[in-house]
Amino acid sequence: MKRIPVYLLVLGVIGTVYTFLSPDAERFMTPELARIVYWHLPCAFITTGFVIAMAWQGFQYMRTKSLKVDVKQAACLEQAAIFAPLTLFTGMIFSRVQWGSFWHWDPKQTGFLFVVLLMGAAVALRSAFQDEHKRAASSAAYSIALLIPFIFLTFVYDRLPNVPSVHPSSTIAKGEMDAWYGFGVLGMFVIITLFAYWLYSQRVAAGNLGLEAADYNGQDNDDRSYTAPTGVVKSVDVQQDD
Amino acid sequence: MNSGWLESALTVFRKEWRSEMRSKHGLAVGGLFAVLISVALGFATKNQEPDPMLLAGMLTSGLLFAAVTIIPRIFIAEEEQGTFTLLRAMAEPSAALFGKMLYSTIQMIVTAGVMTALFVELAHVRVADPLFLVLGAFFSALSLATSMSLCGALVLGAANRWLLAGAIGLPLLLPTSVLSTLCLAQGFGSGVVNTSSSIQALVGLAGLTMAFLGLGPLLAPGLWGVEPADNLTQDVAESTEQPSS
Repeated sequence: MKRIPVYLLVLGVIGTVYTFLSPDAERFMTPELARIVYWHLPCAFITTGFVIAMAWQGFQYMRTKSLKVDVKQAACLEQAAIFAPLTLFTGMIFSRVQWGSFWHWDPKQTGFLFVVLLMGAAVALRSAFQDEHKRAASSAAYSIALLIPFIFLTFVYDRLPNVPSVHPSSTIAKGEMDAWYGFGVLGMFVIITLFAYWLYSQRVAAGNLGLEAADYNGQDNDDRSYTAPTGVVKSVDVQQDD
Repeated sequence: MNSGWLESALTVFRKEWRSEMRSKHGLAVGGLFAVLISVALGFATKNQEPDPMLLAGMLTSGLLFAAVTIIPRIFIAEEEQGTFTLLRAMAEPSAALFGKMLYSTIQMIVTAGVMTALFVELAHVRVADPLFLVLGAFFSALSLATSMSLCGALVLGAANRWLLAGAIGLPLLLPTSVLSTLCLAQGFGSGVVNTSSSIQALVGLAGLTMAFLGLGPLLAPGLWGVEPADNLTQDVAESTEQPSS
């Protein structure tokens, strides 16, 4: 288990070297900078995956009321809150090199900005509750509810009539990617997904340890009648005598 | 859905209606807010002829902020007055939320009607298709009210809940605002939007309304039923206890 970060690092280096060895993409304004898609596409897919997983964990929490499920849901939210801005920023770089400016108000771009805002709102909601069960319940309900605007913004908005988009959305489906780029995007998707899953599992493990520590502390005090050596036992006058 | 559940929901709706009719505070503040937004928007378009799409966007923004300001009050007021526990004891969480959602839709429809009429009058807007304008405002109000009701229910017990309701509500309302703009633009005679896409937008707004109307009561037991029943009974006893002096 301790070697997983090392393996991920090696895979990441191999993936990065591959992206630089691949030939320049055709039909791009700045062909050599089209390599940003190796990072941009996996980040978008991973964000989508974590948002759906977050809603699923929210549903599971509503069913079980288990704080361990809430830990998983929080971990999904945090991962989505990391990868959504990464998608947005890599997309902005792509927009700059392909279409000439960082921001175009393209429906796909705008839609993902709103997804970032949704993630920000979900994080804000989690941080507003003291009670852990209320926090978990509200967060779970919001995770399920935000699936409606998320699906609209990601899959519907840019396909609406009268909403023109320059963002390609069917390159993979139509098989328009050449072998270098197809394999590269798939490979980077696997590598970044493994990295994201490792981060997620670390966060879940830390959260579960936190829950267990909270339980253990209570037992420790009850069983041994042990009082901590810290804390104020007698008031002290800190004013100096004249 | 059984008749007892529906009766509970309607009881909550009647309670909201009566308490509102008694003080009229919420209606007055909501109405004032609608007038202020309409005046501000009308002033911004003074002596100009903005594009119908821009007009639709302005009216949608007004409706959006009206919903964010008015609807959470219906939920947060219960907690601030200390009557929330009593409400939960009176009706199932899903019925209570549904009753409040019904009331919030009525209030939002009235607000949207006032705002749209004032906006058209003050901004000297030419209405090309009154049917789409009315239907657009009506379905926008429904969709905004149901989704903001869910947000109002979510923030109960949170710190800074007034602010938080807006912060979590606005991203959730974005699909509504997009569809609402498309629909209202047809009403203002935008050449960019055609009738079929406006009908699609109307159907989308109705779909969003149905989604949140169904989702709210489904999530309510999980949201409001987190405390053990013993605590609830104790809380109700404390909240209904009369002071001895």
